[in-house]
Amino acid sequence: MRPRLLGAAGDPARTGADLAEDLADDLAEDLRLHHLWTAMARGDERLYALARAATLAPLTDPAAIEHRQRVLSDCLRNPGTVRALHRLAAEAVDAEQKIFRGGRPEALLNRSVRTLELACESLRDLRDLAAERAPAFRSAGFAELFGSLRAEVDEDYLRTAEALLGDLRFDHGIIAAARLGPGNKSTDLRLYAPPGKGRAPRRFRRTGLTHTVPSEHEENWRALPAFRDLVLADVARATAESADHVRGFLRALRDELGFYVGCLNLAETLTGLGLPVCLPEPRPAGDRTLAARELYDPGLALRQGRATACDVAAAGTGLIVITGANRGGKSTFLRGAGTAQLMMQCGMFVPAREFAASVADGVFTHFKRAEDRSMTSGKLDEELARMSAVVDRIRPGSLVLCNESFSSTSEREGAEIAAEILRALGDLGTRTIFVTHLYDLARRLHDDPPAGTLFLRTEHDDTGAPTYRLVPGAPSPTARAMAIYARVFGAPPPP
Amino acid sequence: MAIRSILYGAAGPPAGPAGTAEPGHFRDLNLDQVVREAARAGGVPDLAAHYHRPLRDPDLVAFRQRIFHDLEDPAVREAAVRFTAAMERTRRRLAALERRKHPPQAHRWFLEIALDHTAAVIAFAEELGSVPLTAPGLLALRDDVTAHTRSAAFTGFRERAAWLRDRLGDVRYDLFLRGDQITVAPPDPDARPDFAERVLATFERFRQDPAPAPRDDAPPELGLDDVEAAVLDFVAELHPRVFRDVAAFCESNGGFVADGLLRAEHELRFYLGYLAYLAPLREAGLPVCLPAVSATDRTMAARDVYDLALAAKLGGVGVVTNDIVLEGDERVLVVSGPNQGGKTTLSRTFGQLHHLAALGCPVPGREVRIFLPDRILTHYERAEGPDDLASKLEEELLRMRALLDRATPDSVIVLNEIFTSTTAGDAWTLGETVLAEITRLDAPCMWVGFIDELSLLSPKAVSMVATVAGEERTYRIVRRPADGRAHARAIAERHGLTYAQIIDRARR
Repeated sequence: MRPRLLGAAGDPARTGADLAEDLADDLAEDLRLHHLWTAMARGDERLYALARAATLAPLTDPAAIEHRQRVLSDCLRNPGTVRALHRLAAEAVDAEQKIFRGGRPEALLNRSVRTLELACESLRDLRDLAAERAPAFRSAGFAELFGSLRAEVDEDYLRTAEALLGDLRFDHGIIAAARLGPGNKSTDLRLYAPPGKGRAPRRFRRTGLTHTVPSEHEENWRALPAFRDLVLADVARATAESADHVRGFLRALRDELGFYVGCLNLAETLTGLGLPVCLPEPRPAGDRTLAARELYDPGLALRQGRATACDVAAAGTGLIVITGANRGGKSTFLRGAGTAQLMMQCGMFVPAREFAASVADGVFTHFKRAEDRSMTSGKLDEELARMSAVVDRIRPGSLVLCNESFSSTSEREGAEIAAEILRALGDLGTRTIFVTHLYDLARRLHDDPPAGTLFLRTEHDDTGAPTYRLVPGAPSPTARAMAIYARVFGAPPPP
Repeated sequence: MAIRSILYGAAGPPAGPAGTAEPGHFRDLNLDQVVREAARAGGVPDLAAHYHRPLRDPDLVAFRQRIFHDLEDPAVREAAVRFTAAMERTRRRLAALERRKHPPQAHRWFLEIALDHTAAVIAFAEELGSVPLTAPGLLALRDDVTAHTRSAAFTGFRERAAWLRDRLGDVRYDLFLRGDQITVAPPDPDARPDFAERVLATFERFRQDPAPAPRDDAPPELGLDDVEAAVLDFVAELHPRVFRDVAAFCESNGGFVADGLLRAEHELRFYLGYLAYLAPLREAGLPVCLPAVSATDRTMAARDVYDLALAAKLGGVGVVTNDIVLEGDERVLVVSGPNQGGKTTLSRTFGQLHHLAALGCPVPGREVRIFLPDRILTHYERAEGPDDLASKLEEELLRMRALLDRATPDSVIVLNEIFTSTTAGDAWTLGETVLAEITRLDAPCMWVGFIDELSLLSPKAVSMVATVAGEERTYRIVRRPADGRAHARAIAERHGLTYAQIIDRARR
């Protein structure tokens, strides 16, 4: 039995394709996912790790995403029960972890027996809680979990298991079969069922080949437990493996519930800030859709306590080029779109009033870096090396998010490099959102746009102040840097 | 039964001093690193002596080259590796056996070691018989080892050991432990010892991973404590005859490993160690080749050669190869160019090639024709030594004098950055003098320095220049400088990010 809250029944691959670790770090840093995970974790390191792992392993099958969405809906309807189940599973795992691990087989055996005894009690509690609350749950994921707890952890089973654990204490001695192995040491030791109380079995009484370990020498005193370890190693391993299985189940249950507890935490926080969240609509990759109402960057919203939201409507769009003023909301939009995409693909709600997007086979970022962090290569070299790592991993349907890429060289050269890369990415069937200051490039793309290109630019009110909205529009030659300069310095820059 | 040498053939080592010490040129050329690593890969400590001893006899060089050639075949190489590993195992286990105190246990180990050793020798003989061998050295080894395994003493020993081991393996018994007592009895014919399986079956339903957890069986402690010894003594009481027969066999078969096999193993390690050292470089795509050698022809033609020690340090990545040619009367290669341009590396390459070729070993290059010198003489700037320039120059000149005293027309000379501690004018004059002496000797020489005009002074001298491309050093050294320039597109191309490259990469 295994919990399948994260994956549809019968689906062996419960998580999506893991992103390559190096690029995942870039992704997390560029989208500032840390803030998202922190809000999901509420100080619990394990919840943080679970949130991170789920976010960075996006699902690509809309059906798998919908499976999680239905489980999530159950959780949002029954937050108290879900938190209680999570707490029970977590306590069961934690209690076990406090038992010292490692060491001799007999000690391992005794610890494993203790672990299993505790686990039996935890399983009983989980089963009872599940039986009581099951009627309020509707999703297939919870139905299966509750059903298997009812069927496989029934009272008869638990009693039988607990009786076996009693036998494993070997109160009346041990009987084993053996043969001579390497070095004529006793080997291949396998246990018979333990003997009952009373005298030794007859065949042992008959041979008279009995060794009584003298207790006076320390060496002898150690040799006896060592030999018991040899005899018990087989059953100790079986018991430890059994304990691992039970622990594995409890841990899987804790972790799968933990992901949803993280979702509950985040949903409560965002809703508390008055921000909208919704279950998104995953679309097939071929649609090349990104449609949202009031989409915001949850990371920024969590830090600032408020959000500026944007609408976007792109369908059949392979390339979105975003130009416009500095500090006009371009990067925020890019982060919001990328974060929402990852949240959708791990089955979460998204930071928007309405949201529909094509599932992406991999999400990649290429953001301008503050400074060259390597000693060996120039800035452009570093940028290109990162882009090359992305190119190594992209597939048709991947989503590539670029923020001021190739601005580390002259505008003309940057434009030349970027144009060629964008053309190739488009022809490979990826979706790209490209935020750029490279007017040369934007102009060139606008004059001769690849099929399915959408141009967005920042919006300004009459005073020239940004509205932090993006509107369709041709790239404009000024990046409004002059306006900001003028605002900061109180006068335009000298000619 | 004698087993012939695969380093020196039936004739044995040539006369002359055994010469196990490290030759003088080793440190300058970083050959000490090469030999240290190759000997380490070879796996026995005293292997270095073989690498310290270059040959001048082209026939003996060819004798070894043909063995290296055969060892290129993975089947041959793996057979040799398995044999050397088995020999080492036998040695290690026999040494450990000395420490076993309880005879019934020591005797069992003796049987296992004997069986393992004889099986390994038979396997080696069979493998050598089934692989395509052409090297006379390996053919002789095959014949000698095969004859050894067919001798009556060898086969009789092995069969008896196997029979005894099997009889011990058939012994079965049951144990009963309670409190401080252990009892031994014949096995129970009726019950099944399957308690552990019952435990597993009970909790199987919680298993998360379909694959069984890996069993990390610690290697068994080989000693025998008092309790185990007592149990074994009881088992021997239950089965007295088999234990008596085993004891008699062990006492009458002492040192059973043939000396000839031990030497064959040692000599194989000379080849295997060097090949193992080369392996990661070849995997990284670097060329190696068996050079054409001559004891009389002083010209040289070497394509795509590189510094072996440096390449090994870099793991074979980013290694730049160069060509070295000395034609007709050319004897002196004068190498100049910017700092850090790969000049010193090239000088080491030049020296290494001569030494490695004279060992009969494959050399770092694609195609190499090279001279077998009587000695290799090197002169590199010393990091330590006197501080003030005058004494530094004096120290250099003393070493130069000693070098020229030892040099013969058959020597190879490598000079690196000499006379840097004096004025350009003086360096020119000194250089001119030394060059005249080397030219007169007619010995092959590589001279690294900053004054390429030296090459104009003699028709025997040739200039090579380290090249640059834009800001980048290429580490390529050619007979004439090449130019290049970096701009954005070229950099993009280097990262595989042109349109065509991206499409191509994605489709692969």
